[in-house]
Amino acid sequence: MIRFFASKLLRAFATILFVVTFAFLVLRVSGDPALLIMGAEAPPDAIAAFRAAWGLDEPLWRQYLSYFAAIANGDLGYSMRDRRPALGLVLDRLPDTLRLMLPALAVKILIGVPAGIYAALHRDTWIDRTTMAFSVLGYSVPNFVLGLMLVLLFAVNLRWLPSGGAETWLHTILPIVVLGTAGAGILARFTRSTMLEILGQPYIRTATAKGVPWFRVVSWHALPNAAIPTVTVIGFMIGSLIAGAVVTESVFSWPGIGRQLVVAVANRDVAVVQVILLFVAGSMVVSNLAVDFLYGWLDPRVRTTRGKEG
Amino acid sequence: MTGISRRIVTASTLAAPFVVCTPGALAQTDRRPMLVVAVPELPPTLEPAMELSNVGTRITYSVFDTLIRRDFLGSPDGGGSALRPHLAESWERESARALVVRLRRGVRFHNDDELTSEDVAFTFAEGRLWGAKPSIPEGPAYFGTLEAVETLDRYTVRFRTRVPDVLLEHRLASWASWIVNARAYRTLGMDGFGQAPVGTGPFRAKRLLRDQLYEFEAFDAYWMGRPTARGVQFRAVPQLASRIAGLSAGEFDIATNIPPDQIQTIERVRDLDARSVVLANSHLLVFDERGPAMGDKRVRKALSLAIDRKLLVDGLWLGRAVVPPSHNYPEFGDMFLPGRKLAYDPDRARQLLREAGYRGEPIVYRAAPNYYTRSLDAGQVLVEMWKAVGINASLQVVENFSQMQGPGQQVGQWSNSTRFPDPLGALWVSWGPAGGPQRRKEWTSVAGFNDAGRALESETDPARRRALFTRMLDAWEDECPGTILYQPLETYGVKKRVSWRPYSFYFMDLRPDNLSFA
Repeated sequence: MIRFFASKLLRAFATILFVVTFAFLVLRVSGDPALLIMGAEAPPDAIAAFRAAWGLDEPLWRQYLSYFAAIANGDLGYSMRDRRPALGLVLDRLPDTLRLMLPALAVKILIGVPAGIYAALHRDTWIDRTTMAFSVLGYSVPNFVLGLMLVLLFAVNLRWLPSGGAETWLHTILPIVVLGTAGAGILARFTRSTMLEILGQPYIRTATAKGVPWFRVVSWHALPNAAIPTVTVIGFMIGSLIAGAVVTESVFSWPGIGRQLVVAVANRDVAVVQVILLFVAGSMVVSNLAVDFLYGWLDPRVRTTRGKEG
Repeated sequence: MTGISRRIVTASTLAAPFVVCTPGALAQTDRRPMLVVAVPELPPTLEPAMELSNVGTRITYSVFDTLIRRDFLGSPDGGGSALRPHLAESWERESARALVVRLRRGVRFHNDDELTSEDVAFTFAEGRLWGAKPSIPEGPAYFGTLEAVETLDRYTVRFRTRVPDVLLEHRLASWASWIVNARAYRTLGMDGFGQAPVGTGPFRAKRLLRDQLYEFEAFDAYWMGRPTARGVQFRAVPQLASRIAGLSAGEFDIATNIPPDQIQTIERVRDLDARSVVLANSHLLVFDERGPAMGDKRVRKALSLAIDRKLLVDGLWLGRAVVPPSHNYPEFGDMFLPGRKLAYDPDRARQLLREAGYRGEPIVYRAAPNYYTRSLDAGQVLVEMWKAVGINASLQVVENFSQMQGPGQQVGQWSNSTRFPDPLGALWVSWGPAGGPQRRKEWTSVAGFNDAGRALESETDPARRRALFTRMLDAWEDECPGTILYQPLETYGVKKRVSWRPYSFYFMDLRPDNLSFA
């Protein structure tokens, strides 16, 4: 078990190191932060002063080493644009990001999973076809299209809800609906197909033939076995909680980390980008670990295999 | 019981006037509207000289005041250049290098400090806006001529310059010259002050939520009178469609950065107006003489002569952008040179190409798609115009200016603002020795231009100044290191009940004399 964890952590660390290095090089080679932050009309002397102040006139390798030396000392750097600690800037956005993303995740799961199960249990009926039609519609309509349509309907025409912003709970409704719709559609599709596969297994037929009540067959024998692919997808969704709503945040003027990432990349504000990438990579690693644990809990065969490996 | 009731009644009666007069109670009875402005982006700091972008100045302009006020609305196009007393009630020239300014008395900062000469001296101090290492990197571009700022008494300041500076009064009315509260600035430091700004303007900071909302409340002790709105909110709404939707839904009073193709959309809504102003800014092309085939000025001139600017303006800007008569603007006043124009002459362009021995070498126009409004559309049209005169032109989309100005640049995009209504504040600032093209060696055949410009810097006689500007502009047009396309339009979507006029800069003036509600 310890070896299992150690190898996972080592792999996660290597991934983060690669992501951070790659991002540093790409961002620094493809654009000059001084020119991007100060603007094309800024006097050249001012741009030179900016470069000197932020060490951008140093060779790239030295900037890279300085950056990692600072990280080793717990200093994740300062935003060149905001002139404040990058970590603090990102943490400031975290509550608003989670205020949107956690309810959206709940919507995805609470609608997508039951809808998929229900469709599978009514295979080839109008219920199945209608559910799947909505599911396909949900994940195939781009977020910005759905977002703008909802704004047009509920904000501009009916004036029931605000068109954007993040001040009250009313502001969260439309973005949560947009984010939830696409995710619910994906989960419904996954859940339905895995449920259908499980429902066709011999042990389900056996249980049914033994006279086990249908509700118990579904909830006790089918659902846990069908859950593994769904849990994997939910794991990815949790991993993308931090910066996975760039488009929706832009449409609804939501001050989340996704939008912060876009602005930071456009300005080549390296420290901010790196902190966000660390958060994203960290959340991915944690969610994958959690999913690994869930596999073991849901499926005893996984536990057994791991035990033998360990 | 009766006794307690009596005491309560008596106490309540005595306390009532005080309770009613508390700020909270006043706020509840304040019937002035809250002005809500949707903007694409909020600035990272409200230190007024630090954030000189359109994003920053549209907010800081109503938080801070300048000593002298440029009367933009004195001209119907919102680009007036007459100077009026503001925080300074008067000013006079002691000499070509010295200006004495007398402050208005009784002006209060948002923290209730009185404005004094100490605040002015601090604002223009060496080390902040000028000197060897100023804390404001762009400061020297505006106040690099300063030599000293001396407080003569509590309300009088003398500005001394190293050389005769005919633009000093204009400098004090424009960019980077907003007066800050010295005590607050010293206490908070530059970065802290940027998050808690203290000025003398009509609105003071109340709530700053980065990338979300900056809220200001009316500063009722404002020296020009009580603000007409009880507050103003600048909301970050990055998507154009969302700004227009919020405006249509009645959530915003003003939405900025509306492109020309959305003007009709806004005007179709019954209670909305689209208010446009031609900016004191020109979109240009830079011809990098180091680029292949670009060393011959005849090729550069041919590129300029092949451009039908009227077609661009009609096609992309609904005919509302303006083609200026070269790098020469009417707001220069006496320095404006009448009778000039940017020629469109494809035959002459072909002839120049023949004379230059141009043999179809590729000429690439690098354009960043999202920096200037409609620049990519303009680029596609330009390439076709160049092809029409025989230039082997193509368009390369790049992400940013670093990539544009990288090795091999031939034609790039840029814009020039008229920072002060004078050639020294426009052509010379952008194309002179301190400007980008000369510093980056994109333009090196500069002798005639620089000689005239340097002479103009210290010349005070109006006739000689005009002659020097003529020489400078002739040299620029003859060498053709770039060319102007047009002055773009800035459009605001505004509720009809809001009486407010935009300026030819991005400044949003929300003072009582330019903001009222029907």
